[in-house]
Amino acid sequence: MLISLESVTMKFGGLTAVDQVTLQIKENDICGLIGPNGAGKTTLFNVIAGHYKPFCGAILFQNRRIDGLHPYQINNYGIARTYQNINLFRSMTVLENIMVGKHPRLSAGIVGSIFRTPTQRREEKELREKAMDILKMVGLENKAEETSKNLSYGEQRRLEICRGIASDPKLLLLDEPAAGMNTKEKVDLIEFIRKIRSFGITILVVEHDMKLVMGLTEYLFVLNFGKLIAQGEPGDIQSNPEVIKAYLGDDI
Amino acid sequence: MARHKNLFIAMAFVVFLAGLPVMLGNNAYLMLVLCLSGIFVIASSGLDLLFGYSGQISIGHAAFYAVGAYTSAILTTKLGVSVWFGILMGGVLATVFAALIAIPISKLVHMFLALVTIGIGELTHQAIINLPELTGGFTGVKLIPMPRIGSYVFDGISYYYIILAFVILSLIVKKHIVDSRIGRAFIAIRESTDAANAVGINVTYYKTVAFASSAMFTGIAGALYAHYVGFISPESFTLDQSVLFLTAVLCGGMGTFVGPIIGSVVIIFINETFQALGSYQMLVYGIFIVVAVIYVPAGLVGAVRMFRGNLFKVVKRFADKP
Repeated sequence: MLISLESVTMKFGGLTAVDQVTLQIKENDICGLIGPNGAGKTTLFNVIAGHYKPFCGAILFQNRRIDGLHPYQINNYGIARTYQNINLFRSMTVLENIMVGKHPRLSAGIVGSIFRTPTQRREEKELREKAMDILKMVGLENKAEETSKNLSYGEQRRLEICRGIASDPKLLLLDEPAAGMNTKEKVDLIEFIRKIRSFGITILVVEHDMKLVMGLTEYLFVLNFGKLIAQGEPGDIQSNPEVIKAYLGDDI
Repeated sequence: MARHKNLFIAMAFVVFLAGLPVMLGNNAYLMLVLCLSGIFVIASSGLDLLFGYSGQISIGHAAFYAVGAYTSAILTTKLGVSVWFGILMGGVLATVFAALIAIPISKLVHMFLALVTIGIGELTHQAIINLPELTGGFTGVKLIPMPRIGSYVFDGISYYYIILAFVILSLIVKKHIVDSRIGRAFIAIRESTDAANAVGINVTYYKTVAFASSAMFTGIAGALYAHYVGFISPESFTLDQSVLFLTAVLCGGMGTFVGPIIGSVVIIFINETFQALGSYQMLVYGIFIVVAVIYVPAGLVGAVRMFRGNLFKVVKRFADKP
């Protein structure tokens, strides 16, 4: 198992946003996390990525406890994420966004940077090339020097995913990557996510577009009111009565 | 190509500055204004690393200016160490001081950070006044020596070249920091602290680095100031001084290379021109800050860029007309 959550609970005051969630994700899977609005999907993401400290429970990533660590430490362990509302470094160029994404994989310190040592220069040069390679994968190489806030919505989404994979994570958390994309962009996105997986990156995606989820993922987790109500392969989930009840309500 | 062009412009500018004393015919007053401008450029470029790049405000940078100035002044007058060592220690102590402060306050943002930094400036000011054995209290430190190599003393015009050398050195260091992994981390924190944290940047650490490196510049500027004027007292290190640094950065253009340089020169010249206004000077700066923040938030540099952009648009519109 790459990551396992053991009865993770997150409370905000009296509200239990994530309730005793236990789940495991296998290495190199594309997993989906679905559920009605307010089910606690983004909260669960924030708990895994370290933005929230779980109220109780444990998170094991490659057999190491990561719950309660800072987001930057969790990133260093190999978990990267994107945001539901795009959260780029807006005034930086497209290339710089990727370069920041590689931050934890670089070694230059303060002294090395101030004196621009040969090692630091070589690292920066390689960094530029690697960042360019990542941009080429999503066809943003021509916009490398563009300020990232000037990109179109779809491009910004792709750039954020690129920034995520720049740090060579083992697990990538995608929070509604297809939101606001048109059909063509969605098709490209599926292809891109599959490509990311081929690099040995495991993916957990929150998404509302059911067609996209069913076509992309190999395993699904369903949340409702903070509880994990079902898990399994997409085909089984579609016919699961609990899931249908959660989405469509009880019989009248 | 653009890099070579910029380097060429910078070199030409340095040659111009080096020749300036000759062109001005050794006019003592103008040299004074130039020296003070140089010192100001170092201090405000330092503040810009913190304020412009990492997005952390400080309205207490006079504290680091004071630590640099007093450290070097006391070391050279009381212990008789070399001025060069004094300036170095001034920078080092200001850096350490800033790092120690930054660790507890790095969680603060916006007005809370502004208030705490005002407090730190005030505390330092009070500490100087209330430690007369060390700092001379209100009477200050007198007869601070000029730097020397062998028997050659750098005074008058030759001190101008010392300041020029320090300005060039600090600007190179600033550029190197900004263009490195460290500088990118600063900007990332400014743009989105949350996302910076999520991409693996230790925010607390880099905020501390921003404070410390920023104070290094300002501390060295303080030491250069002490040796230049030869006399320092608490009244040079008040809230007014902190506000002046901030005004220089804001009015020149924060988060840019040339912004603090232009801002500093403008502020020093205004300072000299409005000397007659006495205590009403601060009113002028106040108006400056308000106007800058409302109308040209990107400072003079931003205004020029905007103007150039608009000019291109106008030209293009005419050119596109059939």
